[in-house]
Amino acid sequence: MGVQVPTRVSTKTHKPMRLSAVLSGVLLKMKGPPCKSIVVKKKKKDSSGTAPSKTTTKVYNDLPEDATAHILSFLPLQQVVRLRTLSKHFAQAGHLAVLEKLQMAGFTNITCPSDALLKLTQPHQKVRNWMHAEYKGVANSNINYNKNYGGAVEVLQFPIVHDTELWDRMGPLLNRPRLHEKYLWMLPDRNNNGQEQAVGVDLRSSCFRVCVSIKQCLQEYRATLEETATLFSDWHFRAVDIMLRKEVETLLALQSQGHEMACVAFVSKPSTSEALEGSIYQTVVDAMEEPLMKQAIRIRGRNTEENSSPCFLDLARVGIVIRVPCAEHQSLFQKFDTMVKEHSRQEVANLLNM
Amino acid sequence: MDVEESTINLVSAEGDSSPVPLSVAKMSELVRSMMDEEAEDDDVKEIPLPNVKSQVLHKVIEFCEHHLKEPMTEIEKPLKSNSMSDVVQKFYADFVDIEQVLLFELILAANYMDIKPLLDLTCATVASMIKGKTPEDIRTTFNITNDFSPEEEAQVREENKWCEEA
Repeated sequence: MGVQVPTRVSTKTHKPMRLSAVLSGVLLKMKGPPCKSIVVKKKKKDSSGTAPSKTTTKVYNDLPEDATAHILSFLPLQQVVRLRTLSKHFAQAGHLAVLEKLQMAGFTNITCPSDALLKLTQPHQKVRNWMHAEYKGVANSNINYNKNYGGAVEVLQFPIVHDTELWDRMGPLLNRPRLHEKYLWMLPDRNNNGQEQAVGVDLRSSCFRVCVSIKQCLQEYRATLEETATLFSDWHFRAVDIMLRKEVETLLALQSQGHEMACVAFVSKPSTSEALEGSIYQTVVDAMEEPLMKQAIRIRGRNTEENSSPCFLDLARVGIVIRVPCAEHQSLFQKFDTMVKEHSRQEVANLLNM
Repeated sequence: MDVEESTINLVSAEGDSSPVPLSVAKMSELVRSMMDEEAEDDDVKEIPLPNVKSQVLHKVIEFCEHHLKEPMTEIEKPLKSNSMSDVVQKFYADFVDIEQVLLFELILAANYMDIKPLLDLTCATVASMIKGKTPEDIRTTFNITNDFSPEEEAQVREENKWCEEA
């Protein structure tokens, strides 16, 4: 026997209501129990002795924030972020939608403070200002990044650290804010007192990973290239360009597949291979809960067995990009160094183009 | 010989009772969990759904019945098109070609009854109406009131600056 559709359907008819009314009523309610009906009485137009205008009752339904977030989750990330300006309800729902997108990207074990999640997708002006104020004028440095050609990579990947002594070493970077701002916005956090600070990353382990908006990441890379072109000689620029290009290609591929978020793991300290290996291992261990990262283990293992030293582990299929500036980069820079010493700049450029 | 499937009555807010096969009813996680809770009571005959009007419940049942025969294509995120007919099969695109009030009531019902594919379909439909519009377009079109204080709004705009500069 088939399903009997009830024939006794309510005879009440729904007066057509404009979406504007629905949205303004439905989406603006920030809190409150789901499915609550709100009765809104229209104001009387006058209080004269004439018969009062008929009271019109509109029934507005109240969407919970998570339902609004679900709506937003079908929109591109950039629009979700922009819609946060509509109202408090949208701001909160937008936050939840970003969280959903992060989870879709494989981040099933996010434990960040809720307000930090949005910061992962946007530059954080407060942290940026704090940084500038805190370290303004620091000029001395133990790091001469121009002396260490691998340092070009390290500069670009310089992590943010808790250890204030290490900040002194970052002095030269302060005149090139974009280079370290590049990661500031990605790593905001709060300390135990609730004060804002950057996520601490020990230079000695110097390994961290962030979830980024692909679009934002591409913009950062473009900015990095522009910055590098200004700061360094053209062969340095060329080298950085080469290193980033593969990553950019991977991100573009991910974007074309509809991905909006990617996990980018950064490992610096290319000169200390043991530490590097340890960092990679720790990253992977930390990410064991994330199924996507298990793929990283497999690929890394394969490359290790082949005794190769991959600069990039592309996991386009699963939406992860891992950048590992390792011995291969080191040798690349050494090669460039030699070339620069032995050849004119134009000759180097020609060699690179080959 | 086909064995007739058991039915259960879903009772709407107005008290209207709709008999539906268990397989259809159990697409709702709410109904499923309520039935599980009442499993010891063999005489479960009806499930009250006080938050769902008859008209809406009728549509929900229609959706669930069809979904069992032709499961809905999973909706990609972000939406690739503003037209739902480009996103899901014709039945489902036609299903949500309804008055907006009913559409929002379906969202509430799907959320309340915890029917994920219906929630996806209805939310995606609203998203398709918003997709590509600027906040100001949406605010004007849908008459959304800004309830931020000036300071709060300034902060959100500052946080969003990177997005606007893109």
